[in-house]
Amino acid sequence: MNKAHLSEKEIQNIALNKTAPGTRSGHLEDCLTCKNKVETYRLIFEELTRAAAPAFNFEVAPPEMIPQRKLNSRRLYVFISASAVLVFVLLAFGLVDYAVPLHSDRPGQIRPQVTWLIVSAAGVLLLGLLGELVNSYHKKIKAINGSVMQHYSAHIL
Amino acid sequence: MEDQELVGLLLDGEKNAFSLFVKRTEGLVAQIVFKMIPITEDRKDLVQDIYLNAYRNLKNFRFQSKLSTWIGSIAYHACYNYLKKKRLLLLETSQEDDTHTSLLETMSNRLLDHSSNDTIAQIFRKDLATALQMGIDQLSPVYATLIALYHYQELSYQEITEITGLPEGTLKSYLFRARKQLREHVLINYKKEDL
Repeated sequence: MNKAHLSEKEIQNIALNKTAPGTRSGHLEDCLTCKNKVETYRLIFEELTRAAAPAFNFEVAPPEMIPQRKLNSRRLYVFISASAVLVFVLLAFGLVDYAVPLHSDRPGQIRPQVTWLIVSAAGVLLLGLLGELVNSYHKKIKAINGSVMQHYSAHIL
Repeated sequence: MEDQELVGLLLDGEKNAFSLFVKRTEGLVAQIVFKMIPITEDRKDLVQDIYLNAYRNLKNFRFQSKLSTWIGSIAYHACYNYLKKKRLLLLETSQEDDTHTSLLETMSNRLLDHSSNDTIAQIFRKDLATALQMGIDQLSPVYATLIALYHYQELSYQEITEITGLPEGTLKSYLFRARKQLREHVLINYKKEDL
């Protein structure tokens, strides 16, 4: 039988109940020194779990809660897809109208109706973007106002 | 509330979400800050910076780890940089000193004698807790934090690796040395006045 003391690593692992294969746990039955070391570690580990949960002894002030999401990702995806399809269709329509003037008296020119259609679609896209910009601006202002009010009320109280 | 839902509310600028975020992560962040920062007055500013930094970077959080682990990593690195800046000792070199072995053995016997004595059980627990607290305070900030994360927070090696950025082998080696030093400190501190 190997009478040499257990290594510090073996002792810690036994105390943690994490014995690796080949650990001479049986040695503890004959060796009071190693057994005491294991017991001491176990007492310490047990006491460590009993310690009170730490908590801040001060308030953590909230930062300015400015929305960080410009657009909901799904809404953004739908908006970009729809815009891309619209732009593609209008471009194709305009090109066909320019190259194959089936209903036009003036070859090589886009019909005014098609021009209006393109301008209207561009306007709708622009309005959509502006709406989103205004919406996001209002959200940010509201958040800043809220945080400033909270700051002042905390000071007043 | 799931992490994903909480992050969504924070990104939308919901005011109440922030206090919930602090409440949920306070235990881990406090554990790291209190163990790593010895100067009490500096802790508040550092915690404020940690949460501000986390809030600003929240949109980059990809849910590859738990929210608490993620902010734990921010806290650990903020404290680490603070200690480096202040030139405070981050790690102690392990000193093998065999001359203390027999003394430690005697102290170990004394501690175990007291632990098995039912009549002084309560006093023993109190004295042990005091000795343990003193022992933790004597460890280097990194060792004290690793002990707290592993034994108190009961985090896995993987989670501690994510927080500290230490390779698993290094982490295990640091933890081994930290436990060894802690045992020695506890034995020396236990009922020091009676010696």
